[in-house]
Amino acid sequence: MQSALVYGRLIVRALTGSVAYDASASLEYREHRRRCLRLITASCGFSKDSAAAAAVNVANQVFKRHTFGDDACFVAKYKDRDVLGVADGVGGWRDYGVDPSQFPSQLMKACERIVKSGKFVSDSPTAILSGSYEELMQNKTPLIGSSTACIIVFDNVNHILYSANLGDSGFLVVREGKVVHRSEEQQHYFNTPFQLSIAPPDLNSVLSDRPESASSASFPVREGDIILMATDGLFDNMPEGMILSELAKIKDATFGSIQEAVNSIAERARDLAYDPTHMSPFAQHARENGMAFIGGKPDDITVLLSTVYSEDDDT
Amino acid sequence: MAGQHERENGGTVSSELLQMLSECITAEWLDIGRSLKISDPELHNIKSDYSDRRKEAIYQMLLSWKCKEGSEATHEVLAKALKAAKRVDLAEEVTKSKLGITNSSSQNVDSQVSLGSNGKVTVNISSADLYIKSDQVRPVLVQPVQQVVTYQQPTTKKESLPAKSKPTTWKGSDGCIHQYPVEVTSFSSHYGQEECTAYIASNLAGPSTIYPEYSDSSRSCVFRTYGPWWDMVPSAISPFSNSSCNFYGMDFVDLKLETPVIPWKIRIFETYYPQGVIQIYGAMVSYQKGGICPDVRWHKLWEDEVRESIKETIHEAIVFDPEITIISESVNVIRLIISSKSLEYYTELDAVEIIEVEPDCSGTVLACFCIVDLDIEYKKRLQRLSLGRRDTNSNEHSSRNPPVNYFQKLSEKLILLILSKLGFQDLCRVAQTCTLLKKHCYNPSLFQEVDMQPYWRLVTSEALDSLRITSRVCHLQKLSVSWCSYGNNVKFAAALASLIKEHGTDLRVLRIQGCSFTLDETLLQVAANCQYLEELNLSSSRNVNNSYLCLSHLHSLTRLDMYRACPVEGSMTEILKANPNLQHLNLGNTRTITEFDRIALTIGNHCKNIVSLNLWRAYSLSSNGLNYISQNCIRLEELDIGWCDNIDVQSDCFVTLVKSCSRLKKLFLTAIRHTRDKDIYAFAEYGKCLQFLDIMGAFYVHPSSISNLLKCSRRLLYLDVSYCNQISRQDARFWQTLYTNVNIKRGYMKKDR
Repeated sequence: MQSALVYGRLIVRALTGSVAYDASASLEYREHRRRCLRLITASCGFSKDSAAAAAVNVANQVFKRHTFGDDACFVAKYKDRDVLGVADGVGGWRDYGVDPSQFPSQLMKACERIVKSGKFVSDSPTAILSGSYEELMQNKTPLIGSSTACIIVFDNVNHILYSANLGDSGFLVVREGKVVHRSEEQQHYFNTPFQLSIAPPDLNSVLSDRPESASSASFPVREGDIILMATDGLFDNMPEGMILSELAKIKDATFGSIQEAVNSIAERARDLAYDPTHMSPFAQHARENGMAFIGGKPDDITVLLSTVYSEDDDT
Repeated sequence: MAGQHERENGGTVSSELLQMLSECITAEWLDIGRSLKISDPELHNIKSDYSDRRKEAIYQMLLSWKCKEGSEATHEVLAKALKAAKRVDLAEEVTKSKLGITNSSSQNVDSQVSLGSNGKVTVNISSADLYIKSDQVRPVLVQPVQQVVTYQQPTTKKESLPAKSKPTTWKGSDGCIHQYPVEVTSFSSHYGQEECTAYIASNLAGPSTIYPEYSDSSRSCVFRTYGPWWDMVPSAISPFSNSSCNFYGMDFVDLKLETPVIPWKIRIFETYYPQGVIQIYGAMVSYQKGGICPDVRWHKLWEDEVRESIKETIHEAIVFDPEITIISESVNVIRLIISSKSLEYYTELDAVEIIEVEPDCSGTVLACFCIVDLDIEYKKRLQRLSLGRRDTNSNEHSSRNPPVNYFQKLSEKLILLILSKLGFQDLCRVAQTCTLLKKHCYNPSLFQEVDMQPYWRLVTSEALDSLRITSRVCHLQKLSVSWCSYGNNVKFAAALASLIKEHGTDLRVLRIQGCSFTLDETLLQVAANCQYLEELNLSSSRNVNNSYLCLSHLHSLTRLDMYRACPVEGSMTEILKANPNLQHLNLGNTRTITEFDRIALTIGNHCKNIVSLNLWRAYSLSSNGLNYISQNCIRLEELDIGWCDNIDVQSDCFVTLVKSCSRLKKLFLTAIRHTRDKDIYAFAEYGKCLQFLDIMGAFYVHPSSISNLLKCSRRLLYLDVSYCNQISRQDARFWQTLYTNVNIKRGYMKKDR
């Protein structure tokens, strides 16, 4: 059964649907009037929509805030802590008549709610994750689905970034053009990341990891650091060098230029995903695992880009 | 005494009048303002603040003049200013209105005085027996204020809903301070599980997250029970013989505010089966060192007039915005009383928004009517009437002047019989009328059952002390202090402990529900003195440090309610072993017990007479534990194992259960997802007494098995098939038309799309 799901995911990932264009950028600009570091965050994403849905009625697609296909993300703030998160739904659930985007989007919403209520501690993003997973489990109708998840909490005062990562989404911290910190990818085996799942009661074989098995880390950041958080749709298609060169184009620490950069990264990644000749990181990994594969990997792409910014007293 | 001052002065202008004026004055308002000596910058500020609403600007200007001038804000001055601005017509109106206003205000004072000289009043205000002021008097005094403030309300219909990200306190476009409670400090019950976020009472704090959606949502505050069903099951607790019949509350929830306010409006966002809230109270709590709370004085802010009668069900999310009584003091705690008896399903609350009038304005309004002074007056009078002093006074009195009346000639038995029909509060009031009645009212036979829950807001530590000192309660058999006191009230805890120490020997029933004070001392006294205690209810009273174990000194318990309490397995097993006659046990939501199988084993071995067992959310209970119970406790009539999702249904434990416990009336298998058709068929075949069945969230139960159950179980009254994947809304509707005597429940959850 496990293999069926994995297979489902593989097929969904391998099939190339026509590109449904529902790109959008959302604004996350957080004002913080204290002499401490804060994050300016912009997000952008593309959904790889199934060919059928796109063919039937493109106009029917309703854009949901913070949702790109089966991906979801959130940006929230509580007092002197910024919290960002992304989640990538497992598409295999479509075969069971389950909308795969529901689980990640509800998971992120629950996280956002926990953050806004302030019931969390900075150094344990895992607790946010397990709290929201628990909430989905506790629902009278448990939400069926699976998802990877990555959450970072930035402590504005101590300037420390705490992270919890479960699965193949992740983030990079870039300082002066170099990657100084990255999240650890968690996979059971190739293209089968760790994931949180809620399955119907009889489906015992569904792959499900505990939120506590997320890899957690902490990293001190400085003013000017750039934090890029994304689902595997980005990392599977865009080599790191290319990401860095895109980031190098950021002019200043204003929301406008961050948004510009994140748009351009997401668009590049989407183009690469549909380029059949591109030797993508995904194709390289496939080769390492003995599969002759070339080209990009069409997938939902969600990118959150933040810059660490120190606000002056006079503003 | 500002009040007297006001009367002598001939009266300052009322806000009512200002309101009227603001409607008549037009472009000349700036001139009037200058004549009233309001500075230009101030006028400019008002003008720009209310740039698009001139009427409001004028009103605010007049109000600020009134605030500034205080007692000098007279009709004369106002009339002069109006004349200067060539509004002679209005000036005349103002002079005319002066008479009317003065009259009405002096009327209030008169009635006030006559109250004092009238003999009957003593009864009216003598809830002093509890050292608290009575409600009967207050509304009369508060009324005029309420009216004035109502006039002051700008229309708020257009007011937009607060956005999700708003802070807990903010200033609205209407110039009022709005705030959301920051914390839920205590509550009587909730559907969810402690330390989780779904369906818990704490969801009521903070901004609205669900409204305007009408949906059964995990983000809301949900209580444990609803409807009349919970009074019909074996575990239902019986009220005391002389309990107040005016008490309908089923649950309460306390909300803490960040900034104290005089509430002007309270908006309650009800997002599922609304209309559960029946009363709203407010209190000012000044926390002392170490989070200790003193006795607090609760003000009634609003009460539902309809009360228990069945309301029409509304199937939409509403913002409930009752017309609340404006009080003279600020409050920082709001208590909502909920009664969902008349509701068809769980009522769900999303958020509560408290709106305060701007401090300046409220100050003025209240100063005109000088409630504060009257308050002091009443306090003094109440103190004179209060129990402790009166005791000594009345003794002297009786020796000098023996009362002569015919009432005296009635036999004591008859008088006691009459008095026994009175409720607790009435008894205290009657005791204040004369020495003869006092003597009879203090007869211990009338105080065998003391239910103070209906008077929770009046009961203070002093009230408990006075009960203890006067020895009225020396034959106390049943005592309830449920919902009484707020926070960790150390004095109250001590008073209760000494009451039990002195008069607890005959105690058979003790109910301490939803109390936040430290219970340790009380429990020690209970263990030491109450040898005959049969019922102990500690639900939602969690402030206990390790003294549960001493309860194992009790041996006659038949009913024990530990819902949301925090005993550990060790103490619990000892208590169970010591009380073989236990019939009703509630261990719902007790998160401190981590091995429920051990508890189940103890129940199976020692408490074979158990009739009702509530193990709601006992996550560690497995099918083994359930089997111990079903094999040993064959008298079981009620079992609630909702959300115990560690039970392996495949082991046929439900079939074994209904086979061996043939008297089973209520079976709650809420959210046990694996429940199968086979189990339902077994219920139909063996559960001949089954009246209440809840299989909410069963994934694989099909309509066919439910149809069969409905056909076979003639006694069935209640069936919850909410969120069962295989059962459609149509099925439920069809069954409902076919089996009208069964109440079939089917919840509704909006899919987030």
